Amino acid sequence: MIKQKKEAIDKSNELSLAASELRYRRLFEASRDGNLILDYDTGKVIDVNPFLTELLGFPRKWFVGKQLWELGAFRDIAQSKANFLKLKKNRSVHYDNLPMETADGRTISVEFYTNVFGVGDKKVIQCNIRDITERKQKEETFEKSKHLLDEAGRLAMVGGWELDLVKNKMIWTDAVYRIHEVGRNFKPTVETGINFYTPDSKPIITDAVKRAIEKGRPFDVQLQLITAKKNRIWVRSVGEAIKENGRVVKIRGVFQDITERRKTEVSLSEARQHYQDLFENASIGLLRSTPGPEGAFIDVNPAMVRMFEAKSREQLMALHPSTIYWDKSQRKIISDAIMAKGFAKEEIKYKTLKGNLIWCHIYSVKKIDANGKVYFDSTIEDFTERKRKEEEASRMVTVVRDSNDAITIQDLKGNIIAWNRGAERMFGYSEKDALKMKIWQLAPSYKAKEQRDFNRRIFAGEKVTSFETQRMTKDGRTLDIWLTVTKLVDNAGKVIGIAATDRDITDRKRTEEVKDQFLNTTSHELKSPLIPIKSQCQLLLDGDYGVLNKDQREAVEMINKNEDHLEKLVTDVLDISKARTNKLKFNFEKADLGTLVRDSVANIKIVAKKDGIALSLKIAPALPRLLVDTKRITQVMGNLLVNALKNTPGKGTVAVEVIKTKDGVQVSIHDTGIGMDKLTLEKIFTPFFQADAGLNRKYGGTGLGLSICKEFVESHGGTIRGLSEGLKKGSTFVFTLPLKFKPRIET
Amino acid sequence: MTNKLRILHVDDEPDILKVVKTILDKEGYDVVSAESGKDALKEIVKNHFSLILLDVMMPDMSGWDLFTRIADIKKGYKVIFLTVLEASTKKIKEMKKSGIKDYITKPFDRADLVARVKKAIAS
Repeated sequence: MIKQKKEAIDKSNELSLAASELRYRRLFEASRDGNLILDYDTGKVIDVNPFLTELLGFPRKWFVGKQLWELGAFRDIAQSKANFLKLKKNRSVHYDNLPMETADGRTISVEFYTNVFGVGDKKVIQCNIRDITERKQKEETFEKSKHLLDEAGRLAMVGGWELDLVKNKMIWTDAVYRIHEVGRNFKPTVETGINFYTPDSKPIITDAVKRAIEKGRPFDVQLQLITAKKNRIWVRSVGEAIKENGRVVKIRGVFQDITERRKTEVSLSEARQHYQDLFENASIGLLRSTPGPEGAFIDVNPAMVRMFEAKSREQLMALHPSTIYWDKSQRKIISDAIMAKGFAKEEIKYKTLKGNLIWCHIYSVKKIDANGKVYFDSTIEDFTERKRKEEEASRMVTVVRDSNDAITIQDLKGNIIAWNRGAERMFGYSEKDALKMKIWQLAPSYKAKEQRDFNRRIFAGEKVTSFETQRMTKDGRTLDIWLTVTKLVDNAGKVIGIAATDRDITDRKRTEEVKDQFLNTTSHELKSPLIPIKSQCQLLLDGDYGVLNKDQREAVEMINKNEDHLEKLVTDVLDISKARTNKLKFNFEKADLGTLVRDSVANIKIVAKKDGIALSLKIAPALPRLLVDTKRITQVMGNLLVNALKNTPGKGTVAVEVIKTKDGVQVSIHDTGIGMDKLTLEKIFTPFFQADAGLNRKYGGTGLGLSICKEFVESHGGTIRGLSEGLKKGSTFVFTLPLKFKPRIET
Repeated sequence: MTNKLRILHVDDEPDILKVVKTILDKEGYDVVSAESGKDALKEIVKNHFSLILLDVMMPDMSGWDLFTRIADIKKGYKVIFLTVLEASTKKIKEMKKSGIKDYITKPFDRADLVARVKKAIAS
């Protein structure tokens, strides 16, 4: 795991390095400074840029592989290994003016400074060598000579000029002629000189010369001019007024072609812009901070602001870096490590400004600025999501691998391309064998076509998620399978395969069959003995066996009544268990619920009248016809009505109302009876729960009525609930049946 | 020879055979009881019946099988299934297509049984 992560970091570092390395290499190759890259540990030269080889006149191979102090040209910089170690220790070493020897024995002056940084895991010392010979010489020359114009003229592309205001005469040195690309026959004047400048530059030089003449002010301006040969160049013009007796008599100046320098400056500023863009647009956090247990931000990029959920750059900058650590004390440890080793590379738990935890990879290096002050440059990469995904993926891999369900993946052509242990166990084929098979080889011969058709349908875009089918094992057994499939799509949304989970339901199917059989047998065996009892009671009561006396009649009536109760109980118990196992048979047909309710109410009119209960019925007009099993819903109505009657002892009212709702029909049965408390309300749909056993005995309730109502209503896609404001406050039972209902298909 | 209409009742429960016979004899039918499919087939060969009442769940031969066997011997018998098992309306419709007159669930109500038997014979 740790290794993986490390590789991931290395990988991402490598990518950004590859990009920056290319950029860096271009700079390195094209640099007008000498560059030498040393291995931090050994001091051996790893690379040298062309400028330096040219400057010193040694070939590249003369440098590479040698230690710095072995190179004669550098003897004043690093004479010994000890010096080198000092150089390493100080990390940033700067020499203003050092003599160096070239291959042909010349001594040149260089400015030399070093920089230590990491390239991937490697640390290197970069030596920057700037040839300042020319500058030095120039400085010396200028110091020596008071004859600015002549001296300047000796140097290529640096010319001098003089405007004699008394004689109204302009003098150019050769270099000035060359820069303007005009012949010696050209007669320079203030006007002809100014005419070379571009429209943008003209006013600047005109103004500068005018002020020099009038007020004796010196000038130093950079201007653009177009030469006689139509080349657009940049020049620097420096001028000063020469006074005699307090009057400006001459303007003298230096004139230099700075086109090349300007180009370099522009490319430098472009490069700076480029790095600025990188800093601003980087997706990883970049920051510069001061060392210490708390530290302070010097700069943060927008990615940092986003990552740490700050409202603004300022909000984040105002904090100490330590405050974004989950564990503040860690900041000191990291800071100390960077100070000691020069860098730190860690996985750190941070806390955003909104308090969210994020996991980041940080890479920090110690840097020293021109004033010798230490600062840290760090990159921070949030890998919280990746960490989470990795953990999830690793969990998923375990789950998939060890699942008892067979999990397989097939490509577009039906080739099996993944096969887990569950599949090995279930089908008997090893992964090696399976990967050579087509998916339909798993189907029994009579299902093979179905499997192929199924694949075609899936790839045609049909939505199929799970279904029951059969599979054949290696040893020829047929398994009942519950198959769940998922389409695998690539990033472009194209289907590239099917992942399938096969669950062996052979045993479950067998158990279901047994249960089915049991229910059928039970209902037959329990009901059969009741048939002759019932019939014989009827024959006795009908007087078929002679006239019964009063006691005999009462006895037979009691047997008959109890037989009815037992029969109802058996029917209810079987209904419940069948409903619970989805074995209940329904005969759905379009019916008018209003008529059904009216008939049900009519059926209990006599009983209600006998008990002195007022029955009212309200049916909304134009009810939609619903798909219902009239026998079952009549049973629901019957149960609810009988409940209402028995819950309303003494005089009371039972009100039935049928209304149309947004998506179906609602039936409510309200009584003014005994009501229910909260505890009772919670349990009323539990089988055999009876609020009042005495009442039930009187009405022949089984304690299953409401459970059956619930099962039946739900089998119609409807809902049922009981409401009551409390004891003695009456009860209301409401059930709804939906307009849109798709009956479960009987299998 | 009486000119009573003859009804064959097949059920493996003697008690049920007895009560059905009692009820229908009272209505003036001649009820022949058979305790198994085998006995029933013997009776069919011997006699003509105006109606056959069949139980579904019987040990030797189910009511469905027996129905097929009877149809093999002689087509056009009027048959009522008399059973505790529930059947879907779809199934009852199918049965009616193949000549089955009715389907009565047990326990039955005396008046209901008599009415349905009369209706089937009259059809």
